[in-house]
Amino acid sequence: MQELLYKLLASKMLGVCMRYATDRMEAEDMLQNGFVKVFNKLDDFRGEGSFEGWVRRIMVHSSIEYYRKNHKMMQVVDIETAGEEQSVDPVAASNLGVQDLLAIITQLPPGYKMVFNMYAIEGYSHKEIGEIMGITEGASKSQLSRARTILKELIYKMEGKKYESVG
Amino acid sequence: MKVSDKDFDQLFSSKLGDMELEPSANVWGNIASKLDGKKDEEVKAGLPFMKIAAGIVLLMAVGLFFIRPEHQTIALRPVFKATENNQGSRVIAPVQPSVPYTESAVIAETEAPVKHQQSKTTVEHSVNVAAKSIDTAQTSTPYIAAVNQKPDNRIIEQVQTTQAQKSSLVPDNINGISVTKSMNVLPVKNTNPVMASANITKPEPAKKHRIHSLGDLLNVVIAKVDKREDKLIEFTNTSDDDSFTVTGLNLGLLKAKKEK
Repeated sequence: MQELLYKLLASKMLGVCMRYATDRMEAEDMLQNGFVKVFNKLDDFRGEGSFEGWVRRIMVHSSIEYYRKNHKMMQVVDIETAGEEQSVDPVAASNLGVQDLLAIITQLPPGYKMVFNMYAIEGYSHKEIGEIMGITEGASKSQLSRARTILKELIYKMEGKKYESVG
Repeated sequence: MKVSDKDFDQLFSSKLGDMELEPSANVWGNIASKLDGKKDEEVKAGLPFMKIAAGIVLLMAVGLFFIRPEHQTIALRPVFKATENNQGSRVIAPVQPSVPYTESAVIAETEAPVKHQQSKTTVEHSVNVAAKSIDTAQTSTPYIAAVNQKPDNRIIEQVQTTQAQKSSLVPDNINGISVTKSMNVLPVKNTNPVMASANITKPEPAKKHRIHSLGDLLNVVIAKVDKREDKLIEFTNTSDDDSFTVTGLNLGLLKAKKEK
């Protein structure tokens, strides 16, 4: 029963963990810890919302917990060092594949990566992020803003390299 | 061209939100082993309590087995039958299976002088038994005797058969005692049966030790539980400080005691 549940959700949940991890090995550790929690907390699932959504939230929490344990300081890059915000060509950005976007997001400092993932992809509010991360709502908003700035710069750089390679 | 934050976020969520990656084959194995390990830990977590409980039960069982009261009830259970003679005194003769008399249960009865001849045999028997008790008393062997409440030190030279109003319980191993009617016996008056011992020794007052260390405290506690002379375990202070060592051990069959 547990193995069947794992097989049904493992690949989707590894996709979640990959966005929070720096590499695949780290993502699989997060996945492993997350599934152990899922199986230990199965009785806590009260049928409110989808089961997959419940498992996904556990994976997010597991990923953040992993970072707290293994990266005592969630590095943040000062806004001044992030450089000037670059403009992004929406057409060029839409052409970026999953692996490109994953490679870009992986380069984010851990704190920004958490906040951006939770807000932009998972759909958490700043209040929820603040509670989970142990930071204020304002800090969550500012970190999200800095994360976007860094991501645009990274996309701009990636697009430039593409143009350079084409040219 | 500027992209709104919402569209920028949408770019990532649309492509990464449903991303799927096949995990390595060993991930499930690790999860399964962790889940099994947790079950084992839960079982192990309960074991210490079971071990402690089992240990307490075992200690109690051993304690009850070895720490028995030292003075147990003597197995001899004589059948008493008291009869009132016409002088108001009561004579009791106990059953004495090993005493070499034909009767297994001897009932000494004092009769009125008129019936003297008829009760001769039984009276003589009671005299013998009484005499034995005196003889036993002289040899300082413990015995149980019926004595009067107000002992009289007078010695009567000749004991009349009608005066043989004393009986006693004699130990089994007394043989070869020839008793005649002329033997000196203690007169018995108002013979209410009481238990007595010939060699009563006053118990020495318990030594009072002050509690200086944990060992002394343990000794006191053990002494409350274990009434034997050699306690289950004894501690002795080794020096002026609070240290102490085990100097005595009595597990019933196994005894060890360090000489002081």
